[in-house]
Amino acid sequence: MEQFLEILTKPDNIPIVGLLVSVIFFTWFALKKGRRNDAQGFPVEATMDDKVQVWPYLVRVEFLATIAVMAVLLIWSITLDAPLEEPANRALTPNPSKAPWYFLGLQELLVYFDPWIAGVVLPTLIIVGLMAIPYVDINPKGNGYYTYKERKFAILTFCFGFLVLWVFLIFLGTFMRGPGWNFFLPGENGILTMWQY
Amino acid sequence: MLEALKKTEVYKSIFRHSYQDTQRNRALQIVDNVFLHLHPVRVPRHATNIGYTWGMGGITFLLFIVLTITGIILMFYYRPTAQYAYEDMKYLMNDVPFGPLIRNMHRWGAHAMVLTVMLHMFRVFLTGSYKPPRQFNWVVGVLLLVLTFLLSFSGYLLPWDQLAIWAVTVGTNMARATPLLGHEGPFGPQLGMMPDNDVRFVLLGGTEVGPPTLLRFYVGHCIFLPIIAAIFMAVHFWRVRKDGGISGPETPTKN
Repeated sequence: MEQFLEILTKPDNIPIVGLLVSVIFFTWFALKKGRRNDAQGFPVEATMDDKVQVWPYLVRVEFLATIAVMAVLLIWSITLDAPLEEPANRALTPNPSKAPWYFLGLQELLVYFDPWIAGVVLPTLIIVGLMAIPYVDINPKGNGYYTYKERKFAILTFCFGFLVLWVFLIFLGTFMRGPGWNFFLPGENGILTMWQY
Repeated sequence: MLEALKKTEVYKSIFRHSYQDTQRNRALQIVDNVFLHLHPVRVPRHATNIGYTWGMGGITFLLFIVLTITGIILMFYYRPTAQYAYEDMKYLMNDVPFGPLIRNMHRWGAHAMVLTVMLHMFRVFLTGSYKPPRQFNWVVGVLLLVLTFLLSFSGYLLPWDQLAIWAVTVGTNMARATPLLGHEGPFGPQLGMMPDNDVRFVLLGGTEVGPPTLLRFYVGHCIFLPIIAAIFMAVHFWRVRKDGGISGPETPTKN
């Protein structure tokens, strides 16, 4: 467990913890808002369509958000140093070698597919597929407010892709892949200390 | 004193209107300011509600600015050659005043930006904001997502330490297997692709991640990709306005 915490709090893994926490929170938050809109029969956003002046009402929010983000970033940067490892050495291959965290889902796919599928075709399909969403999803409902009922299929599909195939695979690749890209459960004896990245 | 200052030609040439709280001045505050005039003068109230917008797009833009500024500062201390890069990093972390702070802000800000881009996209999807008339801006947004990944990925190599070189090795090894264009990809060998002339070679400037790769990634990271990203960001923001501002439900009053 201690070792698991150690990996969890490795400086470069903080954003992944942040990713997990924020994604879980925002999924819950958006679904809650959607269900509330569905239950009352009209979107709450429609009751907030009266116009307000950007100065001060929007600029104020942006200003406060800027201060908050800068404060978090400064504290994060003061308390935690970005790692700098040994100098680059082609003769010394770390095991496992991991891609940057946001590509770990793709690296995970390498286990199941040929490199040309996992490394080239699937990323291309993901990008093209994302771009195609507005032209494929021609359901006119649910434009500009939170809902679940009116676009069940779209939301379930996207959430499956984003939460399971993207976020979960990143989690898997970061926390459960050890030497030789073998699968390890957090807490297995001694394995975790060997994890490099 | 202040009143006298406000009457000078210089003051009046800079500030075109008074600060008195009137509808007109509130509008001028936005329209007469080059940085704020990206906004409309008035927005629907839900646009100021962080529960609706999550603020992630704006935060992404803020982080891009932070990364540009800290990145420029880092460029003063960093030489993109295999001989000096790592030494410069050590110097930066140990001897440059506020060096670690600047580098940490750049590193953590970059991680955070990848995160906020994803969350922005998630919000836009969940509110159905890609639906007509905003379809094309979603496409621009996807391109910006890809550019963010590329910016982050190219920056990954620059510290020139073990983490950098091997993460980029793993990442770029995929390019070997590109169909047609990679020497291990389908139909690659038949088209005469070899390790020293395929798409990965072009990317790396060699058959493996080496000094030419460092220079290539540096130029891409500091010049090419930020300019492309800035151009697409301009289109993205402009389209937000042109497509009718922030998304929102059709309301009875509008019909």
